[in-house]
Amino acid sequence: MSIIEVRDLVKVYKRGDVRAVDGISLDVEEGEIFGFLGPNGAGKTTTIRILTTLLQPTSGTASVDGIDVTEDPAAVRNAIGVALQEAGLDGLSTGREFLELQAALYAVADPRARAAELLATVGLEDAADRRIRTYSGGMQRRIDLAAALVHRPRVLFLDEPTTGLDPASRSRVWEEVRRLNEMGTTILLTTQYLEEADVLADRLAIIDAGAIVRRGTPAELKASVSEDLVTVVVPKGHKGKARDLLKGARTITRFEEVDGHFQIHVPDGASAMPSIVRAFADAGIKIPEISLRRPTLDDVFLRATGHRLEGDDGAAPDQPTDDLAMAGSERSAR
Amino acid sequence: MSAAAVQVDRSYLRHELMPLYRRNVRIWLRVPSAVLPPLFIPVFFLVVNSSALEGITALPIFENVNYVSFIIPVSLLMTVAAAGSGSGLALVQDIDTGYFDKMLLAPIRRSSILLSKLMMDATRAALQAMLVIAVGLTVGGSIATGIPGGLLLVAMAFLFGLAYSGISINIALRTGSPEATQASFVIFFPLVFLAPTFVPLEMLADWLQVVARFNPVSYVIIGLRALTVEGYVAGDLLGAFVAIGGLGLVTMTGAFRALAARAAQ
Repeated sequence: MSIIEVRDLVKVYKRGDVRAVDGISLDVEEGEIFGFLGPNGAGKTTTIRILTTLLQPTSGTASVDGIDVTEDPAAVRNAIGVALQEAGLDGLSTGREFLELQAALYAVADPRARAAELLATVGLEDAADRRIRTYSGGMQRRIDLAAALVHRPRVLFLDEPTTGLDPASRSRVWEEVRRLNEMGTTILLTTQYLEEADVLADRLAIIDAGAIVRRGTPAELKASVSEDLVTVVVPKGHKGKARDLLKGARTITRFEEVDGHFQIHVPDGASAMPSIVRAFADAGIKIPEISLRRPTLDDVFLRATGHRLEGDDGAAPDQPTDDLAMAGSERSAR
Repeated sequence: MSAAAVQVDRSYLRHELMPLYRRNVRIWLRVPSAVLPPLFIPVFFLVVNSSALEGITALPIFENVNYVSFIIPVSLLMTVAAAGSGSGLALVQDIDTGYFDKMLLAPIRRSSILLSKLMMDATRAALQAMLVIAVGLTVGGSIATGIPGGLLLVAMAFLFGLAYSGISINIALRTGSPEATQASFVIFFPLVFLAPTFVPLEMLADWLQVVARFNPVSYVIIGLRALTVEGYVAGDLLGAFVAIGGLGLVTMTGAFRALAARAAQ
């Protein structure tokens, strides 16, 4: 049995009539890192809040570690560790006090020892006795991650664990996530960063407007786009000739001109490049530059949803973000 | 089962109430603005009124009571009410930072979140009440019922403080809005000033007497005042306890319901 099972999950926020989650089903297997990739407002946070018992689904079922989240939320809470997007830190407490309290609430045998151990794990021993409000963004994420681990949960939920972090802090969190996973923790993480999903996730679900639009391993997903992109810079004066040449070529899928370059879509870029160079040379066109790009998850996303994840600020403008959807239902003063 | 490796048997006190209570006290003491202002108003009120309004007791109806003793109860209610408003504010901050979610995610009874908070409010109300009484005695007041009556005074003030903090906790949990929660202090003004606050009930205008008789705070003031200027007047004390109990029942029922509603979305 899968460690996380979700079936036809729907969440409608009454206020604003937002269908934040619109029939999601998924399975996460024990020991994997499962990535939930999508723009703001796609329904990632809402799904996580349902799986972690903070929200009731409108319909559908979900279970974690074999326990139904609506039937026995208390048992689910005992089995999971959660680091939400809003870290939920207590700025007036020190890191040590915060972890000791957290360990006590989870009835850990020796809260002091466990807090000290975790402070070392996330590299915050030096800052342990400073108030959390003095921590940098990266340090706050790390203390929050430590707090999610006090009771050594088998399943860890990380909601956008690196949003807003600088690259160095980000890779530090990545390392920690990988290490936890290697120790056997199943991790479900949401992200709006393609790179993060690509680097960390064993399997991915791409979510848009409350529904899963694609799923698979990052490699499978990229292969499904099945196209490499060869970009050729053609000297002025040769463009017409190049156009004729490409129109006649049978091995390419299609081509377009972007910023004066020719972008040629081919099934397999590595084998196509030599023949492209040769064909141009035979036609008397000397190419100053040629490059190859493999498909990215962004291409997968574009293919699945019709819009790009990155570059246009993620969310479609007419969509409420998760935050806004929540503002309507539970947090009016944000 | 899954987390058994590091878990021992749970104890309600040791794993829920006490750690959360300690945290609440810690947060309270680390925010000077939550400690001092609730004390400032009532102390100011006591000190200024003790000199400015003393002449009023020459009126026959006062039967020559000490005016400071007469208004110590009002000061007590002010301090615990101001602190009670701050109680909801601390909660709203936890909601805002997401820390409240963290508590909801922990494998504890939801009621522990609120109970630990009320325990802190009680501690604070009792400490502040003692301080206000000490100031009152210093500026010339006295307590007719002596030390036992003084302790009863503190106990009643702190029970009233608990009941009153239920109002701001309600607003905090239902709105999640700092502004609305902060504004809950204004409720105190009609409660205190539509009551026999500065003069005995009989001296109030007729319409105000009618309003004051429907105001639970009137009975609390009358009961506390009996302890400071008269003695153990059974009827007055009973009235105060009934008023505090009634107010507390309403605000606490509302608060625990609001918590359940917020936790089960």
